[in-house]
Amino acid sequence: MFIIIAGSGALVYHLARDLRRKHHQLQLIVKDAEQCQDLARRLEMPVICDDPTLPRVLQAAGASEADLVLAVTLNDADNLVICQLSKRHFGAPRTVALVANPNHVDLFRRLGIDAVVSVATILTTLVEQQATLEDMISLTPLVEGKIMVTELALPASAPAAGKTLSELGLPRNALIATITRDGDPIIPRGDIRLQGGDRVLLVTKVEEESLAIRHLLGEDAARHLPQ
Amino acid sequence: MFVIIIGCGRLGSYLATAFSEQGHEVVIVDRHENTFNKLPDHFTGFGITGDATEPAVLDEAGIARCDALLAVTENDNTNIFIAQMARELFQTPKVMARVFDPARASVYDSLGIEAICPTMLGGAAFIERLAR
Repeated sequence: MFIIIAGSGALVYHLARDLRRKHHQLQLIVKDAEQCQDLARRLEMPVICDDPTLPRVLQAAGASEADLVLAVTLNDADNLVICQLSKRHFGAPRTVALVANPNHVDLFRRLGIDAVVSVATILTTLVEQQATLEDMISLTPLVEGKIMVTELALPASAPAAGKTLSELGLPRNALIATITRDGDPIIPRGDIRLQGGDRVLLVTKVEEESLAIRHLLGEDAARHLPQ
Repeated sequence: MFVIIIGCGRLGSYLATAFSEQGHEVVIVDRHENTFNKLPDHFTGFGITGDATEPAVLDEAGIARCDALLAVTENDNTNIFIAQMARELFQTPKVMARVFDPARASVYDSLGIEAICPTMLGGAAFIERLAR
């Protein structure tokens, strides 16, 4: 894909490095001259040093050929304008905006931005999940979000503790891929018995994730899952 | 008419004073309270200190019942954003934004945001007077 990234600082650097590693073609736009030189030197790639909210700058960056435009400046209004100009004036098929103010998420979507990312919302959600579900440490979507990989710690009080995998009766579209016990990973078979303190790597179809977690941790834990 | 003005700089304070003198109801919003010093003693409207990109601040300004919103802060993108917020979230009947950059102004004009471009207006005035 050809991706335009407009923004500043460390976020642009890491986005660019990761996306380039995945063989995407990139054009960066950074307003601050000093940051611009620094990024160009560290990434060894050309960086446009100009205001990405100006039509001529987006045009020079190739907005009319871009498959995706990521607007990740620290200013919500700037990100909105970058995305709107890219999409509605230059016809970019997909735009993603970062917002500092979580109250802008819904509005940006209504104004035609394809994806709106609020760091504050993500962190708040994580904090809430941690508070209610301390045992779940990561949720990773795979295969375009259709598969979830969830790592969770099994308390001794969990319904699954003491049962073998075959006794457990997990939903059809759920699988325990690994159990980590006392620091050692185990690739489990049906006859292995789960214990309190095990860390379980659960792979599920997204629609059966919550059902599978309920099987392992009980109704109370699953009630706190994000819907 | 009830007019909300965003930004109490030279243009914002000028507009607020003019509408107030004409007998209109005016609320002017700025992030910095000291900008309201520019308003004359006979200004009859209200000043609200706050960030107008925050929907709650527009709410407090009375946007639900206003007839027009004029976004005239020093920043083009802030004005464009606030104008769209007024239209999309609050269905404000008349919304205008000051946009200094001519290219940006014409793009947004074509997208249905009424953009007033001081650069183009000023340029046209110079050219016209020179031709007299």
